[in-house]
Formats: sequence, C-alpha cells, structure tokens
Amino acid sequence: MKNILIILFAVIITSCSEDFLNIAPKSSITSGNFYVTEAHFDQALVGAYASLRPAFGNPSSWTMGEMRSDNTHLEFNITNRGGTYVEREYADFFMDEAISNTVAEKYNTCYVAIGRVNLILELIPQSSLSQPAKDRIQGQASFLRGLLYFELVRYFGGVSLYLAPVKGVDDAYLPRATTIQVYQAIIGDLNLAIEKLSAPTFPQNGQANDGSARMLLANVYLTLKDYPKAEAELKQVTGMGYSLLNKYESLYQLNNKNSVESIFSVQYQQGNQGQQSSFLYNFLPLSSDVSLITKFPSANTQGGGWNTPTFEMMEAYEEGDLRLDASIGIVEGTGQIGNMFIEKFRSPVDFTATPGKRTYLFVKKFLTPHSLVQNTDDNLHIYRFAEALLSLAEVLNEQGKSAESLIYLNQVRVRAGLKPTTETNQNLLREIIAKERRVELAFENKRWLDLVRTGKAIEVMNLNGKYLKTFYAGSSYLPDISYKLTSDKLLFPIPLREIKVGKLEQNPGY
Amino acid sequence: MNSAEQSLDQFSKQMESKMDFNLSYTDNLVDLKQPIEVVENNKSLPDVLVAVSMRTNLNSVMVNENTHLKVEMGNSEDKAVKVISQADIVVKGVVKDKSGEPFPGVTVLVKGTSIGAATDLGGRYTLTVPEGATLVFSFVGFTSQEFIVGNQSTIDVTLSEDETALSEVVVIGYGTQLEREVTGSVSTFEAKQLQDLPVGQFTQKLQGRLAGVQISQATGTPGGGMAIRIRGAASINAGNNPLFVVDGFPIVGDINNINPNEIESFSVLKGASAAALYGSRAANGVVLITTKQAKSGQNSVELSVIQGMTQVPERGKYKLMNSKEFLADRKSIFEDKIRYEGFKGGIPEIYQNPESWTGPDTDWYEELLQGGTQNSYNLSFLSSKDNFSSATTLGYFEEKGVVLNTGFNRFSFRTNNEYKINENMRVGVNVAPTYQTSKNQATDGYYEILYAAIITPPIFSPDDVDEKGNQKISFTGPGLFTFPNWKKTLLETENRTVNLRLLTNAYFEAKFLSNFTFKSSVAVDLGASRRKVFNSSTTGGIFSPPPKPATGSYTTQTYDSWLTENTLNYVKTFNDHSLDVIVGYSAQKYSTENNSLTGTNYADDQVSWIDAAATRYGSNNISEWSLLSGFSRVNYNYKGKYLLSLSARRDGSSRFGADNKWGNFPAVSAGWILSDEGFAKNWSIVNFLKLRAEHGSAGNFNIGNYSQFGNISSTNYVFNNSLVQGRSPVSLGNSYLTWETTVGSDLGLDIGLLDDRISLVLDFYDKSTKNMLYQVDIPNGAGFSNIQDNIGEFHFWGYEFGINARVIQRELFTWNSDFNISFNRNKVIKLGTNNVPLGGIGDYSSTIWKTEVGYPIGQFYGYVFDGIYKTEEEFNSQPKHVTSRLGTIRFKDVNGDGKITSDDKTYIGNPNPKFFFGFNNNFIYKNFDMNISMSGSYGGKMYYSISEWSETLEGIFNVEKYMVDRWRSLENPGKGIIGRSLSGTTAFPRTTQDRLALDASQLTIKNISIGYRIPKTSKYLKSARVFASIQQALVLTKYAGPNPEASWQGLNGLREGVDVSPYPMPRTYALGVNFSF
Repeated sequence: MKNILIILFAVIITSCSEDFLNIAPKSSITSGNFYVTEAHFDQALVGAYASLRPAFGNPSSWTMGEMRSDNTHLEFNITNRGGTYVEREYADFFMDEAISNTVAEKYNTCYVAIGRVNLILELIPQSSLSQPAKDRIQGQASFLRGLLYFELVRYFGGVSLYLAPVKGVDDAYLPRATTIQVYQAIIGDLNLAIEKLSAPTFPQNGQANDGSARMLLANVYLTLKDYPKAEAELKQVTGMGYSLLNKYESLYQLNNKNSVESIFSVQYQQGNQGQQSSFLYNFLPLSSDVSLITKFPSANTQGGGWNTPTFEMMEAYEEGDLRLDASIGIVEGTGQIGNMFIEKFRSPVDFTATPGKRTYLFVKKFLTPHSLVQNTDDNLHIYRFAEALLSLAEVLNEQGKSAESLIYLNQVRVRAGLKPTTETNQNLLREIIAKERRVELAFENKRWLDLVRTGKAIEVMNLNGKYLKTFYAGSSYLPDISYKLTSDKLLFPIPLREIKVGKLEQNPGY
Repeated sequence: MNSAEQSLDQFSKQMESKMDFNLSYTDNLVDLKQPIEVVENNKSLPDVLVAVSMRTNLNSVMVNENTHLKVEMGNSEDKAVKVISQADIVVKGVVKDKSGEPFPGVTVLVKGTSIGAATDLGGRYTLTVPEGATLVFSFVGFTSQEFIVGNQSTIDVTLSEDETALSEVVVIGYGTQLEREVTGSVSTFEAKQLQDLPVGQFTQKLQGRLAGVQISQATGTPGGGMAIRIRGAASINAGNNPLFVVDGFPIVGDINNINPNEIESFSVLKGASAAALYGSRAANGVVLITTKQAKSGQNSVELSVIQGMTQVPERGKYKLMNSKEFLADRKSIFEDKIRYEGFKGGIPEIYQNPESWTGPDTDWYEELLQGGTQNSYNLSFLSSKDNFSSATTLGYFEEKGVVLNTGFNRFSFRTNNEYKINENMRVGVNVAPTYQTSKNQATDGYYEILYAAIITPPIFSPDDVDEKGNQKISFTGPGLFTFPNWKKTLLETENRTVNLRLLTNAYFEAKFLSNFTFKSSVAVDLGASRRKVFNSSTTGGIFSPPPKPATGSYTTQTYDSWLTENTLNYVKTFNDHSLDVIVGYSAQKYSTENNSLTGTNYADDQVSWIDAAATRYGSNNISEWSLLSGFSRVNYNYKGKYLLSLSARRDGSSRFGADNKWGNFPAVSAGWILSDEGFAKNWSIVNFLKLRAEHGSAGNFNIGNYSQFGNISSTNYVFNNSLVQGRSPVSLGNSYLTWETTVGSDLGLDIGLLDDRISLVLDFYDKSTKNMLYQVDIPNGAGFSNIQDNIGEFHFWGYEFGINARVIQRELFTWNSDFNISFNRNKVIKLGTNNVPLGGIGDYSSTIWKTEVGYPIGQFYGYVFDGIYKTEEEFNSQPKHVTSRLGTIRFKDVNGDGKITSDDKTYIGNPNPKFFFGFNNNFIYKNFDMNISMSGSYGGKMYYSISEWSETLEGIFNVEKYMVDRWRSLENPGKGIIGRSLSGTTAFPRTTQDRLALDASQLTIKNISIGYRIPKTSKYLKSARVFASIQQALVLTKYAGPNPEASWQGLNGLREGVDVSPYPMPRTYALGVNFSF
C-alpha cells in the first residue's frame, strides 16, 4: 500500500503540474501574445495616441507652456499650499526645483508614450503585415516619436535617447544625449513619417498624416533656424488642402473639431467612456457655483484658478481683434479667493471693471457646451493651419523675403478682423509676426517655447515679473526672488528622481 | 464485573462502559478475538486487569493519560500475578484538585511495577500494594506526586497543575511533537488564557505574549488595524505578513473575521527550520491556529458574555488653539502681513477683537467622537462520546465605534466534528461560516477625516446654520481654507462592507500496518464581500469641500481557495531509537473575481445606488494563482535526548516565471537535552536544559499574480469623434521571476529551573533574505518606472528571551509571571543592480523613508532642525535655503556646501524599536483571580506628521498652541522653534525634519482583569465565573499623539512609524461572565 501511495503521489505531482501551474491572466492580455496581427498593431497605435493626452493635456503642459510665459499667471490661493499647487506657482515664478512633480509629469508622460511607440517601431518590420499596413502604422508611430522628443528637447535639452524598447534592467539606463543628437533623431523619424504617410483627406479623423509630419518638421527646422528647409516643408503644407476657417471663434466650436484648419490635435470626447477633456475647469475660478459660465448646475471646488490671462495679455490684442472675445472670458463677483461667488460673465471687449467686484480672467477657448462637470469635448490643438501661415511668414521674413511674408501673415490678420500690415522692415516685421503668434496661438501652450526659440524669454519675462509685482503689490505673495530669470531657467530641470535613479546629469542652475 | 466467555474486544467494551474509563491497545499487537472468561464480581479495576492478564498473554500498564489504560504484550516472567502475590496492604484515599473538587481519572501506580488504579468519579481509589511501596499519582497536565506507603492505609492527595508541562504536545507544521523534543524555534499559546480580553480580533489578544512576534495596533478601526511581524521580517514588495494556517489549511483571506473564541491554541513557527516546511510562503514565519475540539469524555455547554463600554482616553488627544487663541493668532498674521509685506487689505473684522469673541469654541477632534460599546456573546457545545466528538461555537460580536457612524458586527459559527469509523479510521469535518458587517468611514490616512478635521478653526461649530436656517455644509473665513462640516460629512457618508465567509475542511485518516498513518484532507475557503460607498453632495474632504455632485461606488469581491493534501506518516520506536517520518503533497488554488462600479454626477442625494448616477464606470476582472507542493520531514531521536529533524519542501507556483517555476526549501534542526546526561544528575537548580540549533530556507511568494508577464491593458482613444479601442503595455514582464529566499539559522536554549518553577527560553537568530522581489526603479525614460526583479538582499538578526515563573505556589495564593523581550536588527546588503536607494526623494512625511545599502531598512530621512535665523547677523553669515529670510526656520547644512538644498537631508530617526517586550502576571487567591498584561517598545521613532498642517504659517488652518511663539520681529523672536509667517517662506518649514521625529517608546497596560469563580451552586452548573476587564488601560509614553503604535503603513518594514492621526484606540471597560453547564 505504501508503494502504491508513493507512486500515486509521483504520478499526480508530475502529470498535472505543468497545466496546473500555468496560469496566465484571463482579464487582460500579455506582451507574449500581443503584437502579432494587424489588429494588434492598430490597437497598439491607438494606445500610443492615447498617451498623447497625458503628455500634452496634463496640467504640466499649460504650466510649462503658458504660465511660465507672460500670457498667463494664476490666482494666488493662500489656502492651496499642497505640493502640486506650490510647484505650479514655482514654475510660474521661476523658482522651480528638480524635485517638482509638475515638471516630472511632462518628462515621464512623454517617455511613457515613447516607450509605446518604440515597441511598435521595433516589432513592425518583422511582422507579417502587408506593406501598406506597415507603412501606415510605421509612419504614424514615427511621427509620434518625433513629436514627443521635440517636446522633450525643447523643455529639457538633450535627453536620453531611447529608440528601442527597454526589455529589462540591462538596457534601461541611457545617459543624456546631446541636443543635436536628439534633433537628428527627430528629423530622422519625421523624414520616415513623411515617406510613409499620405496626404490629409478631409474631413480628418485625428490621425497623423503627411501634413502633420511636414508641419512638425517645419517647426523643428524653424526652431533650429534652418529657414530654407522650414520654408520648403511649410510650402508643401500650404498645398495640401488646409485653410483657415472663416471665423476665429468657430475654431473652438465642437462641430469644427478636426476641421480644414486642423493639422494635428489631441482628441477627446465627452461622455461616459473616459475620453473626456476637462481643461476648462482648471481655468475657471474656484467656486461652488459656476453655472453662469457652464450653463448647467455645476461647481468647481477643486483644481481651479490656474492659467489665468494677465491684464497685460488682454491688452496685447489690438483694437477690434475678434480673437479677444473668443479667447478670454471675464467673470465678476464677490467672495474670497478659493470660493468666488460669481455674479456676472462678461466680455473682455471694452472692459471696465465694476467697482467693488472681484475680476477673474479665464481662458475661454475651452468653454464649449457640455453637461457634466469636469467632462468636456474639447480637442487640444497641436498644430493648426494658422500656425503654418505664421511660421511661413516668419521663415520668409528671416530670409529677407518680407513682401512674400506679408501674404501669409495678413491672411491671419484679416481673419481676425484686423487691417493687413504693410511693414516690410525685417526687424519691425519680426516683432509684428511674434506679436501675431502670441495672440493667434494664445493659451495653446506655445508661448513659452516661442519666447525661448526667439531669444526673447529673459527680457520679456523679467519685465513681466516687474509688471506682476507692481500689479499684485497689495497682496504680497510674489517673493523677491521670483522672476529673476537667467539663461539657466530656459530649460526645466531634469526630474530629481531621474538624476538619482538614472545617474543623469542635471541642467545647469538646478 | 462479570464476564462469561467472550472475546477480549467485547470484554473491554463492556468494561469501559461500566467503569467509565477507556481501554486502549497498542495497535494490532493484541489479538482482540481471543476468548476470555472473567468472573470477578465487585472487584477493583486492577484486580480485573490482573485477572485479564492471567488469562491472556497480556500485561496491564498504567500510562500517563486520562482514564486510559493500555494493555500490552507481556512476557511470561513478568506476570502481574507475581506482583499480586506480594501485596499485603490495602491503601485507599481521595484525590482532589486545588479547589477541593474530587478528581476522577487520576492514575495511581505503584512505582516500578505495573500495579495501578484510576480514581473514580468521587476521586476515590483503592489499591493493594506491597509494604514500603511508592505510589505515584499522575494526570496529564498536572504535577505528579509520590508517596511512600508506610503503614497508613489512607493517602489523600491534592494535585496541582503542571505549569511548565514539557510533556505537552505542541502543534508543529503537519503534525504534533512533544514539547521537550521540539528542535525548531516555536512559540505556543493557549487561547483560554486570553478569554477575558474584550476585543474582537485574536491578534489583539496576542499582543505582548510571544517573544519575537511584534504585534501592533496601528489604528483602532473596528475590526481592523492589526499588524503582525515575526522576527523583523521585511520585504520590499512581497509583504511581511506571516502565513496563517488554520487547522492545517494555509489561508489566503482575511484572518480578522475568525472569532477568537473558536481558537484553542496558537503555534508560531519563527525559526528557519520550523517554518521551512511551508516552503515558498514561510519566509515571514507561520502562525498555526488550532480550533477547538471536544476533549475525550467532555460533555459541556459553555456560555460567555462580555459587555463593554469604550471611550477615547484623554492622553494624547489633539489640543489645538481655542477660539480666542486662534483669532489672536490670525490677527497677528495679518499684522505681520501689513508690517512686512505692504499688505493693504487691513485686518479682517472677525480677527480684530479676539478677546470679545462670543461665538463657538469647538474642539473638532472631540466632535467626531462618541462613547462606544463592545459586546461579545459566545455559546459552545462540546461533546465527545463513544466514536463521535463535536465542538460547536456560536458567536456574536458587536462594536459601536468611538468615531461617529462607525461600527462592526460579526456573527460566527464553527462546528468541528470527528467520527471514529473504527479503531484505525476516522473522518472529520469542520465548517465555519461567518457573516460580518462594518461601517467604516475613511478615517485613516493622509488628509483623511481625522487628520483634516483637527485643523478646522474652533470658531465654527458643526451646528452652525446658514441664512436659511439650514445646517452649514462648509465653513470658511477671511484667508481661511474652506472646511467641510466634518460632523455632517461623517454622519451622512455611507460606507458599509459586508463579508460572508465559509472556511471548511474535511479529512480522512487511516492507520495501517501498525506504524503508518495516512491522512487525506480537503479544505475550502470561500469569501464574498461587497462594499457600498455613497458620498452625498453635502459631504466632502479637505480638498473637496461640499457642495459637489454626489459620488458613489459599489465593489464586490468573491474568492475561492481550495487545498487538497495527502500525507503519509510513519512512526516507529525500536530500542533507543525513535523515528517519525512524514511525506506529503498538496495542491492549492486561489481565484478571485472583482467587480467595481463607480458613479458620479448624481442628480441629487435621493438615491444612493449607482443607477441614479449620470456617469458610471465599471471594471470586472479575475485573478488566480496555484501552488503545487511535495514535502517530507524526518524527526529522529536517540534515547529521547539527541534530537534531529530534517525536512524538505518542493514548491511550484504559477506566480513565477516560466524559467523558474520550482524551488526547494530544505531545513535541518537538532537538539540535545543536556539535563538527561549523566553529568547533569547532580545539578540542583537546573532540572531541564536543551540546546537547539536550526538552519533552513523558506520563501516569500507574495508578488502579485502576473508579475512575470508584461501586462497589456485597454487604452482607448478617439478617432473620427468616436471611440476606438486600443491597448498598451503597462508593465515590463520578467520570465526569470522567482521567490525570495530567506536562509536563516537559530540557536536556542530551553531551560527549566527549580523543578520547572522557572522556565527560560533564549534564542538567537540570523537570516538573510536574498533574491528579493523588488520593483527595481529604472529611469522613466524606459517608458516604465520600474521592473519586477529578484535583486536585493537584507540581513536580519536578533535575540529573544522569555521567562516564565511560578513565583508563588501556595494553597490559597498563586502568582505566575511571564516576561519576554525581543531585539531585532537588520541591514540592507544589496538593492537592485545599482544599489539605488529606495525613497528619500520627496519633501513631506508621506515620502519620508529611505532604504539604503549599509543602513537599516526604512529610516526616516529629512532635514536637521537648527533653530531660526534670529538676527541679521545670523541670517547673513549662515547657509540658507532659496526661500530663507530673517526669522525663518534654519536647517543644518549637512553637506557643508554653504547652502541648504535637498542634498542636506540626512537620516533623522529609525522607526523600528530597539526592543519590544511583554510582561504578564496572573494571580489567584482563593476564588479570585487577576491578570495584568503589558506590552511595550523602546527606542522607536514616530513622525508626528500632522504637523505638516498643524504647524502651518499661512494662517489657513487651526494650529498647535505653541505656534503663538513664532518669530514676529527682532525684538520679539519667539522661542526659536517656529519661524515667521512671511509669504513665500512658509512651505519649506513644513518639510520633514528631525524635530518632529518623536520618541515613541511606550509601555501599555493592555489589559487588567479581575475574576471571581462562583462556588458551585447547582448540580447543573459545572462552573461559573464573573470578571471585570479594562482593555488598553494605560499608555505610558512621551509621544505627543494619541497612539504611539500608530503607523500609516502598519508594520510594513520599509514604511513604518508615520502617524497620520488614525482612528483612535479606545479604552474598554467590560464586565463578563463565563458559565459551564
């Protein structure tokens, strides 16, 4: 009997063990059985697109892209002293440190997206997909990687250049590359994308195409001050069927998502499926009742009061500029910061403040019809045709072709209800184009990068600091050390964790 | 006794039924069919047995067991007849226990012979013995007594309990062992010693009882909050909870819903070898729980009722500023704003005249508390008769929490049944369902209600009304944060959990070929829980004050865990060798299904179910693991004094990578009972001395179910204005993943002194955890922040000492005392591929810990407080932070680079105590008894993290009373601890610093109980006892907060000792009765 039992043990333990012990997840799939079919690669690509939302739509984007600049500021809320809030303030005041999670958010989310793209780009060449399918997927993935590294290199300088998926600890550590190496990689990716992608078809669906890739490449060349190459790409873009919408304000209307003016935008959709945006709510004042603005019973008790246009910004719009009313809204009311009692929703056109009332300026571009709090339908523009025109005007002017430049510049001005400009002095025209970019692309997270690109950041922002300190003198929250901008602050710090974990070199000044 | 011709079998059954004792045989050696004829009317038991032995080839021997006789093969020279022939004195007497009750079933044996008798129901015995013989009176669990028979014919004896009881049987993994033969490091505890403690969880009762076992109550949350850690076990990711094994079944679900009254005993396997038989799950130690079984011959009904009242003790309650202090403080902040910052807004009216304030003066902590109750009712039926034994316990425990709208209820039932099919086969079935409900608000944690409510200004009252006469839902004032009405929030938030659990096992055991025992068992643990949360629009948190749209969630989890196990046991004693071998295999599978629904944007607060929500999200998933094991152990001893144990287990687990599925866990231990040696014969003080040593390896498999795989999850997006489904990788897989292995050694001494009046246990252990399952931090550039890997090594070592003394043993008064103390130390040897430290990066106490190679794990890391910049001269000459100003806080420039940056952070405290201890005393005087149990720890630090808010300088919260002594000006610099309130300087003082890492040494009188045993009043009532008990009677500590055992992350190892104002620990005053019928 003993022997029988022992034999029985042995049989049972060996025969069923492998089946018994092999348990794979049932409610999700694993990397082992993914990246096989075309459907898989399409799904992976969708996943990569989805990672653009955190990379471009998170608070770090408007904190670093707009609040850092002279376009917007914030409503200083003494009661909000949590780390997240203080970090945003510090980014605005040029007091930010490497420990900032706000800055880390931009860095990390871009790399999460790059990681997804890298997997696609590595696995697709050896896959069994048809050539057209490969091209379609490879082209878009390359575009996305170029876009993400362009974001990183402008904010952080020469970052670690991961161009293949990380499989384990051994290949996870890369030193920082030089800025030039990163740009070379970006240009390589975008050239591949241009080769693989086809021209836009209208109506667009939100995916990257040849136009998106060329626009991005042109922006890269513009940043590198390679004006002839930028001009060549932009000229291509102007011939692809894009055009300006008739009215500036209709750009942000929901029926014009992915319109003829859109070159590339991050997609959102309101509703129950987790696809919504909520930009508006960060920009509205903190208030237990914002229904006067949203047109339905709603409160904004968390996360509001950020990215507020300055009065100086409001005044930057020329008299009669139709973009002002489309871009900025004003609410008046009472109550302390943190809990505004909103009484009136006003237009900034010919605005004079009502005595005794608190005035709050907010970004109105993201105010569109919706019915649930923190659940809006707005896309986020990355590139639109007006930027292509303004970029073309700039590259032409920089090459001394002022007259030709005016053709493109004035398209944008006229649409905004302004008189065409006739200035052909290169230096003066440069100023006009820069100002035009500021108001045309206001609150689309372009301003800080434009200031850095054009070398104006230090001058403009130190001036802006003086302006703000005077303007808010009575409320005394801006420390003396704020807005002391030096060239070190043109780049953001590499997040402290990456310095410690990855032994990366920090940018100077942090 | 009259026996005509019948078989021995029939005869013995007849004898048992008539004489009320059991007769047992050595297996299969006795031919039960042999005919026997005995006609011995009215003879005593020994006489009958002598008659039996004369007619058979058998001899009777008394053995050391209750009403058990053993009939053994005798040899012809040693016939009992020979003994009888020498008998010439008849001795009679009565045996009683200490309370004077007759003691039936006591074995009375003539020393050196096989002549014996057992006492009858009246405790009486009669025996015919040779003159000058020595009588030995013995009963299991009692100290044997010897009397020399002179010429007296009456010998009355009182037996008292044997406290040391090395003859006791100890539950070890997959079996039992005589305590004196145990070679591994095992602590055992009888649950009946804990019956007076008015608490709902058995872990609460074990606090301070076991050397080497650290149990702390980090929070007073009803039905929760206990953390247990054996010998400092710690892991980075795989957890440090021990494995709990209930009646042989390693359980996965919650241990807290086991009714403590169902438990008979605990065995804690601490040593590397003791635990190793549980293989890949044993690295953190194993707690074996044995539930109550009816004892042989027992037939009783037991009722216990405990009713208690609970309250939060005064000591340590948060006392922030009162209304007048608060208003004056606000006023001074505005004065400074005007003076230093050019503030033009003026001092708000409400703060202008603090002294004339007549409004509310609310203590917000107090507002959220209430007097609670704790009631426990247990009814047990215990019966063992013939072939059937049964123990059934019905329990009900209810607790009304000391925080508003919290509480806990548990209905439990357990029935343990065993049926003997015949002498060699038995089957058993244990079934234990529990039903448990709890109402627990989100009271614990960072910025949760008990943390956030405290800093609400006292000038608001929960009963304040708005202009329309409705109770206010939130409060704010000039420059103040907006605070929810916490009391309303607490009362209106719905958060209830219902748990249903069925723990059951069944077994079959057969003995065969005299030395073999085969056991097969099946165990099933089924659980289902559902949790409903509804936050109405009028409730809120500190960052989300109401009104806001209502939110709700509904979560269900079901799990099933089954185990099959077969073991074969071989026991053989030959000459001086004794061998006990077990081999077995088991298979276990666990599966859990989770559903979660959340709803937001409810139209109103009328309907709290998710159907009423406009926006709904759901998730639904399954998670499983399986484990297949083979194991074997050999226990061998020579002459009962040289002991050896070898064991091995082989585990295969679904959790580990394809390349590393199987692991082996061998162990060896040995013991030497020195006191049995010849040279020990003349030892006068030491009566028992055993040296133990063990060495073994065990694993830790708690890494989550699918870590080996790179997981791909759904990640959707929008194209063409419509949803498209996508997927993306969310983790990196690692097919080489395997268990952590802890290899350890233990050296121990068990000592009995003064005839076991004092017993000592000493242990030294040393263990290393290697292949640590570790989420290796990798650069975020990789697209992931970490990868699961087996890289990392911790070294642990420590000492344990336990003493148990029967200090006074008198007729009327006894005093027993035990004390234990444990020292645990550890050091990090290796972390990841690059030895990158864990943590230490963030500024606030939620990220205070740092674990670095060369240091103990989980140290506090922060700045070193160095006063404030009191003068211009100090400010100008000393290192500064970027936000430093005259009058702000100053930290030490630790790295000496002339400025204060995050590089100046250093180690500022160790949350682990230098040692912890327990001290228990038990007194019995006549019918009174008293028990005092204490536990404590020394040298651990606690971070007083509430200071992150209660020391704010912005003037937005209520603050500590000492905040009034802050720096105001050069002339009025305060006490040099709190800096000024200047804008832009107030964030830095809130970062983690040594000043707030407080000493958490404590001595807690966990329980005092006094009982009175009511003298027998009725023949139906076997015994009755009433008692009064105080739980959490007194906490002696210098720590500022209410609970020096608080710990946000429990006994996590890597993240201990941060006080985030948890649910307060109540003090319980209870009265109870125990009846036995």
